[in-house]
Amino acid sequence: MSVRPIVLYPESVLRQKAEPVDPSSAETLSVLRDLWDTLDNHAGVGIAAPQIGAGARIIAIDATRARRPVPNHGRLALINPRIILAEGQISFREGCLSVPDFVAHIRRAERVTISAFLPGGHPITIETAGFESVILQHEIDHLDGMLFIDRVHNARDLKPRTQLILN
Amino acid sequence: MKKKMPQTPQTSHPLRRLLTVTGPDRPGIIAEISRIFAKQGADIEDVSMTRLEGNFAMILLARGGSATHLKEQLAEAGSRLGLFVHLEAAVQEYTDQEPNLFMSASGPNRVGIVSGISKTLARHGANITEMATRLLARTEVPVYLVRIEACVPAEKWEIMEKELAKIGRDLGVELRIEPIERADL
Repeated sequence: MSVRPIVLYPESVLRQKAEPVDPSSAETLSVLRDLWDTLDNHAGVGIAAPQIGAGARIIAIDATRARRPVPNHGRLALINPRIILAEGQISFREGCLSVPDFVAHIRRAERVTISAFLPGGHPITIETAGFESVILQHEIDHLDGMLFIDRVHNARDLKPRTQLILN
Repeated sequence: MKKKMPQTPQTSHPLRRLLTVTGPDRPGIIAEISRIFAKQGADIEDVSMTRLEGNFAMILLARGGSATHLKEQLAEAGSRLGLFVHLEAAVQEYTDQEPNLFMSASGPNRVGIVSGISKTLARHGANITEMATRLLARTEVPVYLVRIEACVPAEKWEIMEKELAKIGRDLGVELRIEPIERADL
């Protein structure tokens, strides 16, 4: 098990576009193990490789950890994920492990279709909506060097957060 | 020669001060105020500025600088720009409260909407962390909109929800409350 420290903004890796990776390489699988270990050590519901300092297009999400039950695909590790369809609109108050000072309501697509590879290389297409869709969009943003604070148009929408709950 | 800018104070913890500026809006108010703080080496930490129908309103939290010099220069600027300017010692220690309740209310405008809602919140120990209101005057009858975020003690939620519903009926406004949930992604 290898829990890595969460990289905090303004570390440059959070601003770089992450590179596509080989879904079956030992290095990819190693980063993925660390992603899960790190996420499981925090109260978050998703994490992207840049958040542990790896510039690789890998994300790990777990919508089963939502405070209220939501439709979900369980623990999901996606490699080289791409949003191929985005529809509707939803607003949700997001926080980020890498930006511990603020939270903000962010508007995103309500439904998304994602194409990606599973660990090992099997291609997958996922259609989801609601909270899980928000998590996926937030994590894929990380792979493009984008943070939720970039999607805040009104500075007053950034709210100080009380605490970052760690396990 | 390049002019040296005052550095952000990092080693010591000088006092935080709160500045209030109100008055008729015009271009250049923030440029003038911020110039004075920069010149005095005071670090502007937080600003909330808005305009209320042509009235400029700003509260600004800054750390450091000489209170005497800041007061003198701010008073001079205020007088020149026709603004009310007040500098005071700010709360030095505080705990952030993250809101857990969002409320919207809307209905025909009348006196007492904000008072009725806020009185109910206060009675249950709920702290309003943000509020914005708007008067829609071009509708058939003037409509008042209220948006509030508040931090409500968990055990008070149910009783407060009932009382707010009653207040909403009494005031003739549609009142909606919902929990604010946040996820760390």
